[in-house]
Amino acid sequence: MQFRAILCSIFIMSFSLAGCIGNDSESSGPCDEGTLDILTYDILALSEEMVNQFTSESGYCVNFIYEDDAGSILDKMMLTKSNPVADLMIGLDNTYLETALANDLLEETNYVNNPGYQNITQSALEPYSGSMAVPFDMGPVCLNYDERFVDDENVSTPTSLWNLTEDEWRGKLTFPSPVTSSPGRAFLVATIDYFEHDDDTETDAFDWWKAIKDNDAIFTSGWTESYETHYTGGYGEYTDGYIGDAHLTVSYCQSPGVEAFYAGNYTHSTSIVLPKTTFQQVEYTGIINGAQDADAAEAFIEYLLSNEVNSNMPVNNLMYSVLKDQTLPETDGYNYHSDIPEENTDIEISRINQEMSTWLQNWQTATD
Amino acid sequence: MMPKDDSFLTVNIKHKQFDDKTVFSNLHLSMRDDEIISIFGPSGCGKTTLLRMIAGLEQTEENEVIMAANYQNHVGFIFQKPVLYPHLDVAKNILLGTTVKLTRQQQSATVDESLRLVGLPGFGKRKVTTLSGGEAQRVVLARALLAQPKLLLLDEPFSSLDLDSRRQLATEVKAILRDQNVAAIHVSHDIEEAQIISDRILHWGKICEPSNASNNNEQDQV
Amino acid sequence: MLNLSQHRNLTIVAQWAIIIGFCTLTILPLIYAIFRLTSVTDMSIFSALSDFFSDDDTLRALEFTVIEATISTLFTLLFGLPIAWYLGRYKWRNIRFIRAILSVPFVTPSIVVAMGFLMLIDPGGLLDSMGIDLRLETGLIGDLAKVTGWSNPGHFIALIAAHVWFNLSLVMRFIEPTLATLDRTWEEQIRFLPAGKSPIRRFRNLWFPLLAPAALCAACLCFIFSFSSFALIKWLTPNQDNLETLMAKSGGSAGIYNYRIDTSEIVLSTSLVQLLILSLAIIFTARIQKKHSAIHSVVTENSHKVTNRKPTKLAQITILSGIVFAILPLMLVLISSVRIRDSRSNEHYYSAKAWIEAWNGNYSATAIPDALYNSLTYCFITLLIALPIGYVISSAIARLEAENKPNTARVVEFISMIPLALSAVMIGLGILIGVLKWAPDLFSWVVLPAVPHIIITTPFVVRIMLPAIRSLEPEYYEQAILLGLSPIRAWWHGRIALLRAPIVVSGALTMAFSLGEFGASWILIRSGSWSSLSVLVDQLMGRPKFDPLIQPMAMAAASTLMILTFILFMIAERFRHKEEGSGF
Repeated sequence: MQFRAILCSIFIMSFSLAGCIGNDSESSGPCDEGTLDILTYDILALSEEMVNQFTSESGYCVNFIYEDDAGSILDKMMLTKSNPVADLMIGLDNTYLETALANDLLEETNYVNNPGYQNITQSALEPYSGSMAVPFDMGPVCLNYDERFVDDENVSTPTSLWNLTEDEWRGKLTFPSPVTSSPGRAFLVATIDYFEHDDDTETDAFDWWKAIKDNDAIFTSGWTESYETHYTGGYGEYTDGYIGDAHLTVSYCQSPGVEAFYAGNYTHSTSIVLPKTTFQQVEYTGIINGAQDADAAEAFIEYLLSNEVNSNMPVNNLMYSVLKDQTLPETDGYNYHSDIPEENTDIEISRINQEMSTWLQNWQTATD
Repeated sequence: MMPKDDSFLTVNIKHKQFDDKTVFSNLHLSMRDDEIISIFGPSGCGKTTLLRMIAGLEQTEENEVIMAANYQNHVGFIFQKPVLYPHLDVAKNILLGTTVKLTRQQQSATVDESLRLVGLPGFGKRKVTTLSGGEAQRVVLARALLAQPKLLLLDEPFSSLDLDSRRQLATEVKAILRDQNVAAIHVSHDIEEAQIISDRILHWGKICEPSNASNNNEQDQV
Repeated sequence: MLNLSQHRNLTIVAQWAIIIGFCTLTILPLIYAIFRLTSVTDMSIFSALSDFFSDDDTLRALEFTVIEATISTLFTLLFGLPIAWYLGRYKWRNIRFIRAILSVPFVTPSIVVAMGFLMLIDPGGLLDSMGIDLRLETGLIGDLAKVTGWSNPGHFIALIAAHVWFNLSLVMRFIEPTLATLDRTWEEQIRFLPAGKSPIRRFRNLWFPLLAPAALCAACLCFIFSFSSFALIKWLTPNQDNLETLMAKSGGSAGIYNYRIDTSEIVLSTSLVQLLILSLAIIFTARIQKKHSAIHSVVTENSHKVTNRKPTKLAQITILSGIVFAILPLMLVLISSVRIRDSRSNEHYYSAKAWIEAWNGNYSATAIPDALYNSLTYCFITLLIALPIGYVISSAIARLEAENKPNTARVVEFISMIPLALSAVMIGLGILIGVLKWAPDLFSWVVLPAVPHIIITTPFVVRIMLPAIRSLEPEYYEQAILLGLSPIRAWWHGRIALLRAPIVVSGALTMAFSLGEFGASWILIRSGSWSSLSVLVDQLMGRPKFDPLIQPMAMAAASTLMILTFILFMIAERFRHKEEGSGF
């Protein structure tokens, strides 16, 4: 009898605790206008404060459906095309957008008629300037390397991607897979363009990738594992699970600036900005086709592109703002340590959409 | 259907098979309503099967089992092993023998009376797992009698007891059945036990044609 | 006359209805998924199978799967047999406690196991301080890698250790009862015979025939569970895929027309190969288990003696090592939940901050109570459905065996075991694709994730209930009917009340397995906007860790899951010691 009483108490307690001790952050204010469902990945900019502010201004509460990355967002949109699970998409970039457009996954947004749209910089509109998606942040994807390794080991600073296939870099490179990572995917596109324009007509990007694989490069499924777990140039050495066996990885040209910003104007990471080794990634937001509450989605787009929110992208999201006349902060060397690409890849998104499947297959074959 | 010959029970079975093997055939027996009869035969010959058929636990399509119409469904059964439910104490096991709604007081009185009848006064609160074999069968008997059967079937009820306990219990059971005016069919392979408990002994070979394979283990067939 | 035959007929009809229903529930998602994938890829089943064996990725995954499953099985036997031997052969003072501890691994959620072993191999952790660096692969492990040319041996060793930990209790559950209840006169007798004059002869003529079926049973199940391992592969060997993780990675984009056809091809071909291999393994296991049951029942009938032998020093060391091994990863999960890294140094400090943060949740992480509530909801739904289904299927099998219809009984038994042959990921995918096509409104149905839990846990209910129902004496039910009890009361007193122990054991284990289920949940729950504790752990660990609280938060969620599972397991264990021969 006593045992049964204890048993019942445990179960009642579990349920009570689960039910009563709720998540305060979800009660973010009155939702007079309804609830907006956003399909996204774990974007830093979408913080509690930012969302609470939106709710108090607009009357819409926000519910997030998180995916692992941009690719997963696209997968989810494809899977639920006939019965969308969200109103708004945030996070597809210019390597995925065309596929979403080609499959009618998005619907038109009125934001293109909003005066705020005119405040978006041309470089953000370059890949796509239609009415189905609006850019909200951007950043050039490029290779970062640890300067300490180059200095201490007397390694030459790479002047060509082929330098990375040499013995001094054996086992010291890490790349997120383009199959599963959007920065990885962006860098793959950059290598396509790079090797199409180099002097050597005998080899292409996949020959290089094969050589990289043969040079014992580490491939990971996502940016986080490459940058945080393997790369020695970043904040990873202060995190749990750090291995630190690679001195070069794929990240953003402003990543060294971000490192300096958080470390009091010090970093030992820098970028390779050789022509066509960088890819200007633009991330988009758009209303999902069939959204139940398009008005709520429009309101959030407007909020995301407002000067108040978007100008803080460098600090809140570690990416460039898409608004005109915005620069990276000078504080703690953020701007100073951020590298500027010499010449970004200029492959069009239509070509990316057409050929990405083939590129990914070739990449998998080359790196098998 | 009214029985023939003024018998309380008449049983006619053409043949009984298990898995295409005939256990026995051409069985005939009849008894009066004030009789306690024993069916005596070797192990595995089909005695338990016969009891189960009379109780309705076995299919009887091609056979005929006749009971007096107003005695149908008033059959009690005591299995070889005492079937007492371990999650209930002695009193609650006994009360399974009645479907009448009783108040607490009535329940208590009923249980006391039943236990007194079988010589186990004060055993109501005991756990059934603490009873000896003989005590357990007495409780089973008390329960069976509470259901007021017109016919009680006893399938070698004392086989798990030692010799002396068997004799003693057989004597007591006979007295109780007489007192309660319950007809009974008792099966056993122990002739002495049959002689103590019954008015009339039927030898298996006399009431049916046993099969050659009747030395199979009866438990398997049932 | 009595209405027993009417009762029987109704019972039979109800049993078949439930068996067919369960079969449909289990097979329909699979059939639909395969149908959909063949349509999307425009491949037949045969060409998909052929495609599998001509693709390097899938072949590599198969090779890895077979190797890790085989080596895991061998090492599980290697470590498990001595523990089971010593436990069964000697008299131990706290035998129930020892058995419970050594059985905990089997019910521990796989994601918790993964976290525990990650913490075990963490740089600067316990193993590293002993010179065994499985994570960074320096020292001994690095030398091993260099000498053998083997890439990531440390991760592989960690995986095998985790599988051994997980499956150790299988060996114990099968071997120990046989040893513990063995009639000593069997052993004493053979010593007087030529066949038992030497230890080797006694091994060959007594121990091997007695224990081999049990060991083989345990080995088969160990192979099956290691073969379809998901969380452990995902976290301990992230650079290598087994068939399950390969399917999971491709699953998010599979089954969609004109989109990522390559992923659909991978999922189709891989799931078919996995189904084939696991089906063969299940059939083989069922055959062996029946043989083991027969031997085991003979042993328990003959003997009521318990050994009085005092444990030797070696036995004590072996059992103690087993206990430490069983507890260690779980302790590390708990400790890691309060051990926080300082943001700017490599020092750690102890604090409950991560627990508070995890309990409250934030915008990007579900709060533990919310995830816990979902997990408990799924687990109670699973209990309410899987337990009756498992009971009915077990009753049907026992009835068919009693009616001398062994072939039909075998078919039903095989049907009940089918989920073990299915990939949890595949079950999740099948339901996902099926629901999207046929009932898209159900996509957001919060109960949807419970469906694979029901499918996956029912075989365990059958495995536990079936031996108990087989040993139930029909007289109890017959007596109740003869006493004039209503059919429901007769059923209650004559069957259910006598099955209390296996009902509680299977109920508790069903809940534990539901709570810890990860593979199908990973597919389904992530597709919706709900969370469960196991998925929450995975999500938190996958986050960037510049916030030093992230990993301890994941460990806090894992600890919560672990404690809840442990409570359920202790409930099961309270009743379990009265059980013999359940094999689980």
